[in-house]
Amino acid sequence: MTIQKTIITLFTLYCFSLPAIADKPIAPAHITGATNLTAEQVVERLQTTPELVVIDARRSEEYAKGHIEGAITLLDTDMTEALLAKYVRSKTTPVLFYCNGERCLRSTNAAQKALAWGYLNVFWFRGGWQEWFEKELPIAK
Amino acid sequence: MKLEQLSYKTLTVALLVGVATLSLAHTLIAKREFRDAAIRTQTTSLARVIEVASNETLKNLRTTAYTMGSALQERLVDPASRQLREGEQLKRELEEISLKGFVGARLIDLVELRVYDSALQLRAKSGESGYLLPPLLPPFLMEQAQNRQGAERLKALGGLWLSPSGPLYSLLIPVGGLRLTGYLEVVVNPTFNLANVAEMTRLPLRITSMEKRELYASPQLPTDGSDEYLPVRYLLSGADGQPLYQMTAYENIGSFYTELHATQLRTTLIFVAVTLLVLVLVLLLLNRFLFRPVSKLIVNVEQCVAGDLDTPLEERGVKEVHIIAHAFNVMSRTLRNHVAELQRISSLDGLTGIANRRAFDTRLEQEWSRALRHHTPLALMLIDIDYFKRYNDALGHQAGDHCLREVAALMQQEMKRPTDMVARYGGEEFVVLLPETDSFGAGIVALKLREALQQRAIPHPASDISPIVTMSIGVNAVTPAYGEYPHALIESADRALYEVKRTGRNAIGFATQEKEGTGSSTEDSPEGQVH
Repeated sequence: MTIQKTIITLFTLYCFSLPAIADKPIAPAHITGATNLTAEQVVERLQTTPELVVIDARRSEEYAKGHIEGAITLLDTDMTEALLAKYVRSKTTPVLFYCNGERCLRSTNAAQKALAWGYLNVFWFRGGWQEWFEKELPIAK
Repeated sequence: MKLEQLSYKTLTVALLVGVATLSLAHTLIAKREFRDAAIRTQTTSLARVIEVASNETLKNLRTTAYTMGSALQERLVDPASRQLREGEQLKRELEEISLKGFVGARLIDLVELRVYDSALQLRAKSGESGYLLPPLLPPFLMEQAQNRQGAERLKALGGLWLSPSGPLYSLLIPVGGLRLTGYLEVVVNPTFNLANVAEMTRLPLRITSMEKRELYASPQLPTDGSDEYLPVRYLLSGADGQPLYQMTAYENIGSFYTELHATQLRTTLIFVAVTLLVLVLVLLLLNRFLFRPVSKLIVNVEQCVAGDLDTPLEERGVKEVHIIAHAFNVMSRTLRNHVAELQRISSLDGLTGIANRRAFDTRLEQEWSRALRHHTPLALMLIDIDYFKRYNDALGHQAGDHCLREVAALMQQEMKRPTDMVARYGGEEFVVLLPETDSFGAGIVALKLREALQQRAIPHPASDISPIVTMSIGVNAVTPAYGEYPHALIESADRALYEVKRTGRNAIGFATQEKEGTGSSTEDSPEGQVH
């Protein structure tokens, strides 16, 4: 009797924990068609590729607190094809997406949208602001 | 004391008590070892705690300095040229920052702000800090900053180092964002932050430099020699690996000792109690299943040795006692059987030592044949002790046996001729065989026997006729003839005895020579009367 009770209790707890676990998504390791960059690689590319467009996919309040120098604030859900085209001239122009980091899916979403719209030079800074900040790289406000 | 005098009981008890005492002694000795080990473990884990707390503190310090520095570095760049401002402008900016305060000012103890150009040359610094700092980057920062490439150059650099005026913390922050134009060095006094370790660890703390200069001491700091407190030391090293600070926390050992002693006392008492309990239990069990059965065995064996083969040994206790007792019983039973057999085939009565019935029967046959051949008379007497059963009941069987032995002995003495025989015929019955003797001769012997018994005067408390033991005698003498048999001799004597018993005991009766054995008349000689 007690064994059955234990099993039922554990199962119930597990079920209740599922939503909690579901609350913590992780960005995928790779996005097909996009190039992953580390923070250092982002810096180098910024210094060698002046036409690189950096899109900060976070909310504007977060952007205001600190962002990568030269980044454009554009929330992923607000990003439409027309709006993106405004910032990124052509489909071959290099464009970089980032958001908060591993636990944030905004940049993933934005990058996938860009790829779907046919952009060819899509870069993705998966580590996001968390990595940039941890590595004590320059903060722009 | 020789080994064979030592009882195994004493040995066992001594052994058990010895072992118990030994383990108790060991516990007491081990006590100290445990205490020392406990203190060592305590010290090690506390040192770890201090280490973690210190590292955490430095991490927070760095974050604060970095946040502050990266916010400030914007003011050092001319927005038009995107280059570092001029020296004087820089100095003004720096001084304004340091004097007028900044966000997070309370969280750090700012020593100085310095600005370097991209070639790592000092361009400006804020005020007079009171610290004697050379106009250079600290060596460890210089080395790292010079050797960096690419994106690495945009990252902040920092660490603890030893200045001429003591340990400091410097953080080098790139100025100009992605377009590196120079560096801002934030120099702080880390002692201010490290004092937090006391609060983090909740321990009184003393921070000294390696030259034993006291840099910080918690209020109510115990003295180093105090018994109540255990000093735990941790050396905090700088970025180059050299120790810069000695952090000493004081663990209140008083409560630790109290708890330790309480635990020790408790465990010792429990151990003693348990040991005693087990000891008592073991002794009780041993006593019940070993000591007592063995003692009983010894008592029984000694009884056997004294001659009592009938009482069996108790088979109780442990296996070995059972085995011994059982073996003894078997042996004893065998012995008894042999003795009985021997007695049976011997010609002596076991109790009295005179001839037994078998011997008598044999002799009777022999003497009858001889008397028959030589035409000589053969006399036979049956003797019965009066009221013998009452004697047994009154004085016990041991006394009864002793009486029989005495009577037999005195009768044996009266057998003067070698052919005369007295034998035990039954329980209290004896028979006397007198070859070549007629009634007259037999009568004399009977009188002699009676007299001897009277002289012995064995007291009889339960006799109706006399205060001493008496006997009834039936006498018969015949000259055997062909056609007659010995049993007739016995029967007549028996009838005569019966008459004596009937007519008052303690007398001698003679059988008449009757054919057919239809009874007998007793002729009492005057001397044969009851007294």
